Amino acid sequence: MSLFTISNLTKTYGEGHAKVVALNNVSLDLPEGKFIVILGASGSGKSTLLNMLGCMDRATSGSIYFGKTDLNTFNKRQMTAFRGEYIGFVFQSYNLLPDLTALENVEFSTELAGLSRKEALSALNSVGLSERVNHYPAELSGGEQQRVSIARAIAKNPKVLLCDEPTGALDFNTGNMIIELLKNIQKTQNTSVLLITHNREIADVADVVITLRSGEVVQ
Amino acid sequence: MISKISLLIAVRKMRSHIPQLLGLILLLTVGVCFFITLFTIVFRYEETAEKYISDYDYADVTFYGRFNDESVKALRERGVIAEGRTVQDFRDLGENALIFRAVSLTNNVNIPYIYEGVLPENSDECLLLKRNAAALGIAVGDMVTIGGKTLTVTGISASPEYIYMVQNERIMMAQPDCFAVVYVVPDFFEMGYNEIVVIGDAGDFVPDGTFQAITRSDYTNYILYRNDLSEIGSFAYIFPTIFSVLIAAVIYVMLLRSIQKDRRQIGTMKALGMSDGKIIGIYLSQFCIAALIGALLGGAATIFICDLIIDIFSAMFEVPTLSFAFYPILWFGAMVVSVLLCAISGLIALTRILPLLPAHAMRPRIPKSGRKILLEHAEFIWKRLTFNTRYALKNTLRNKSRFFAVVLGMCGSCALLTFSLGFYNSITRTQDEYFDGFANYDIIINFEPIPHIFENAEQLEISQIDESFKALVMPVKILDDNYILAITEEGFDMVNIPAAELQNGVIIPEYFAKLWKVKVGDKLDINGYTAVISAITPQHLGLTMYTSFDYAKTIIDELPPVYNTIYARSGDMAALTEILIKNNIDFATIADDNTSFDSIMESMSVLIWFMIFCSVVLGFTVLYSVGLINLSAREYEYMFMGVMGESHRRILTAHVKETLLQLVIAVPLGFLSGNLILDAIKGEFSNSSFVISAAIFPQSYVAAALAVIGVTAVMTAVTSRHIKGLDIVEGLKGRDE
Repeated sequence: MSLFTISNLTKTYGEGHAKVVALNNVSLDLPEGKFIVILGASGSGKSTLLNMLGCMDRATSGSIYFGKTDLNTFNKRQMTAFRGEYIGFVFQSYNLLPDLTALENVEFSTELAGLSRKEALSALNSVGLSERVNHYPAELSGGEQQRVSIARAIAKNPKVLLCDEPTGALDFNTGNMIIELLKNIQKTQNTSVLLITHNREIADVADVVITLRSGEVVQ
Repeated sequence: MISKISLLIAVRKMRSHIPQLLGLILLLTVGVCFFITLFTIVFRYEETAEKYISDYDYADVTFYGRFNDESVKALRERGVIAEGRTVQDFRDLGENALIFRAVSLTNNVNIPYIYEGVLPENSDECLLLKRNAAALGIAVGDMVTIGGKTLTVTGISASPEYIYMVQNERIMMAQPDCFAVVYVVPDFFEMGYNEIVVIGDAGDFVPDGTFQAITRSDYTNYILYRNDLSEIGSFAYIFPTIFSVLIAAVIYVMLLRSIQKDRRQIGTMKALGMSDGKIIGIYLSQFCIAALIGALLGGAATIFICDLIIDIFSAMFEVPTLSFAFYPILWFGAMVVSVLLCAISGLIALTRILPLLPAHAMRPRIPKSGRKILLEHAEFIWKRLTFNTRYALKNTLRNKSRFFAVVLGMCGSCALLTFSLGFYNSITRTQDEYFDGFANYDIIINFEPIPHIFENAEQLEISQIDESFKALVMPVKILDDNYILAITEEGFDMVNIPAAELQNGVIIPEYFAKLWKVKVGDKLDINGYTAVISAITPQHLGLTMYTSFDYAKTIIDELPPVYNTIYARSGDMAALTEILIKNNIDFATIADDNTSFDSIMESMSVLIWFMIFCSVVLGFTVLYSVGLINLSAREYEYMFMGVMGESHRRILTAHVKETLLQLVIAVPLGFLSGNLILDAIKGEFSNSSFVISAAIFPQSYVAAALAVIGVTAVMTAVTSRHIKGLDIVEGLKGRDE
C-alpha cells in the first residue's frame, strides 16, 4: 500500500535568471511501513522533496497524494494540521527549543497531539534518556539532542517519520546508534521512516532506496 | 486559551529576552507615569477646585464702586444672594513695604476655608491666608498691624477668591511676603461698601454707584486657574503623544529584532504543528505582560510624583484638600494603550515571519547580496581608506533597516531633549522679548477701581517722574471674549509700538490678528463700536490693544474724560516708590512685573522640568534599547571576526566608526525634529495673555548632543565589554539567525 504517491512534482525557486529548479517532474510511489532512504548529493533536491512530503513547503506543480488526499491542495491551516497529526520530524541540527528542557521539548509535541506527560516520558525512555529529562538542550551532547529530537517526533505516534540528515552533525558511532534507533522505531511502532542522506552506508539498512540527482530521480 | 506548554515557552522566553523587555518596561513606565501624572493633576485640580469654589460660595459677579445697603437690597430683590463688603489695601511703611489687603467678611459669599482657629468676631481680630502666615512666620494668636490698628490673628485660612495671590491685574501672583490678605469683621472699616459680591444671575441689573462689574469667568484669579488647567491639560495630551510615537517606533524595532532572532525557533514550532495563533500567543503574552508591568510601574511612580508636583504647585496656588487621587479610568486606559501598543507592534513584527512556510522560516534569512556602495565608485578615496574603515562603511550601508533603526533612536532621543530644553528656552525668550524689547516703562501707577478725572486737580505731579503717559486701561468685549484695551495719550512710547498709528485706529497684537483673521485696515467690533486696525505688532505677554484718546473719541460719543493708569519712566525709582507708598498709591514696577511673570510661569516651569526629566530618562532608555538592538544584530558578526583573528580593538574600532556615522546623521536630524516639534506645539501654549516665542538656545543644542553622545559612549563601552566576553565557539554553534 502506498504511503505517498508523487506525480510530476516540480519545485522551482526564484525567477528569471535566478530561477533554480530544485525538483524536476518527480514521480514516485513510497510504500507504507518501510524504512525509505533518499540518497543524493548536496543540491540534489532531497531536502526539498522532504519538505513537500511534510507539508513544510509547497510544490510549484504536480501532486503528492497521502492516501487519497492531495497535499498540494492544502491551505496553510490544513498543512499545519497535517504536520501535527501525521508527521514526526527529525532535523539535522535537532532544532530543539533552547528554552525548554528535554522533557518539555517532547511535551511540546505531545500536548499539541492531545497526549499526556506520560507519553513524553515514555518516548524519552525509549531513546534512553530517562536520566536527562530535566536538562536543557545546551546541557546535552549532540547525540543526546538528536535523541530528544527523535523522542519528540515519535511521542505522538506519527504515521510517518521524516528525517533530514539526522546523522549529519554527529560522529560515526553516534550516527550509527541513531540509525539503529530509527530502524527499531520503524519495526516496533510500525511507523514509516523516510530518511534523507548523502551517506551511502545508511542506505544499507533501508527497505527502499531512492537516489536523486539534480532534482530528478535516477534510481 | 493559551496552553501549558505555550505559557511555559512564553515565560522562559521572557527570561532570555530580559534586556529587551527591561528596555520596553522602562520606556512604558516613563511614558505612562508622565501621562497619568499630568492627567491626574488636571482631573484632580479641576475637581477639587470646582468643589471648593462651589462649597465656599465664590462670587459669580463682583460689582466695584461706591455702595450702601440700598444697593445691596436692590440686588437681593432680584432673587440673588448679594453681600456688600469693603476691601482696602494698607501699606506697611516698614522695611518690607508689605501690603495688607483687608477684606470684610460676609455671611454667604466668598467664605474662607479655615485651616486652624476661628472666625474673627471683633474689629481687632482677623483671619490670615495660610500662605501669608507661612511666609511671614505668623501663627494663630499673633498680632499684626494694619492701617495703624493692631489685630489678633484668630485663624489661618484660604479663600476661593485667592487661589492665586492676585494683587491686581498687573501683579497676578504677588509674593506672600509682600502682599497679604486678612479677613476682618465689617466694623473694622469706617467707610461704606466698595464691592458687592453676588451669587446668582441678576440679569442686566447694575446697582447704583457701580463703576465696574466683573463676572467670575473674568476674575484674574479664575482666569489663572483655568489657564493653568488648560496648560497642564495641553502638557497632558501633547507630550505623551510625542513620547508614545517615539516609544512605539522603538518598541516595534525592538520586538522585530527579538522575533527575527527567534525565526528558526518559530519555524520549528510551525513544523511541529503549532498553529500561528498559538505562536502569536507565545510572543504577544510576553510583550503584553511586559507592557502591563511597565504600565503598573508607571502608575505606581505616579503616586509619588503626583504628590511631589502637587506640593510644588501648592506654593503657586492654594486649593485645600488638593492631593493625589486614584482615577481607575486613567490607569486602565494607560494599561490598555500600553498593551495595545506592544501587541500591535509585536503582531506587525510577527507578520514578517508567520506567513512563511516552515521550510523557509527554519532557514536563516538570506543575507542581502553585497553591492558596491556609492563611495566605492570614488576609487581615489576608497583606495586610501583602511580595511577597517571600508568594512565599517560597507556594513553600515549593507543593513540599512538596522542602521536607520539605530539612527531613529538616536535622532528621537536628541529631538526629545532638544525640544524639552528648547521649550524652557522659549519661556525665557518670551520673557526677554517683553521686558527687554517691548516694555519701555519703569513703573505703572494704578488708580483702580475708581478712575481719576483729567480735569481734577489731584493729578499726580511728582518730581521723580521723568516722563509719563496717562491711560485708561479697561476690559473690552470682542467676539464675546474679554480683552484689554489701553486708551493712551498722544505720542505714547512706553511700549514698543508704532505710536503714530495710535491716532489712526487700534494697534493689536499679532496673536489676535491670527485669532480673528484680520489685517491692517480691517474693522473690529469693540463693545459695539467699530474701530479700524491701524497696526499689528508682535507681543508675547499681557497682550493689550492700544489706541489714543483722540481716536477713541471719534468712535465713542460719550467717552468719559478719565484715566486709571500712568505709565512712567524715572531716574530715581527708589524715591518714587517711597512717595507712592507714603501716599498709599498702588503701583507696579517693571521688576514687579518680571517677578509676577516668573510666578505665573512657575507652574509651567515645574511641568517643563518634569518633562525634561522624563525626556532624559526616555531618551536614555531609547538609546539603551537601540544599543541592545545593534549589539544583538551584530553579535554573530563580531564573533566571526574574532574567529577570523581580528583583535578586540579592531572589532571595536569598526563598531565605533559605524556608531560615529550614525551620530553624524542622527544629531542634526534630532535638532531639526526638536525644532519642528516645538514649532508645532507652541500654539497650544498660547492664549490671550501669553504667546510663546519659540527659541532653542545654542547651549541646549550642545547639552542635547552631549547627552546623546555620552549615552552612546556608555553603550559602546557595554558593547566593548560584551565583545570581550563572547564565547566564539558556542556562539558560532548556536547561531539563531
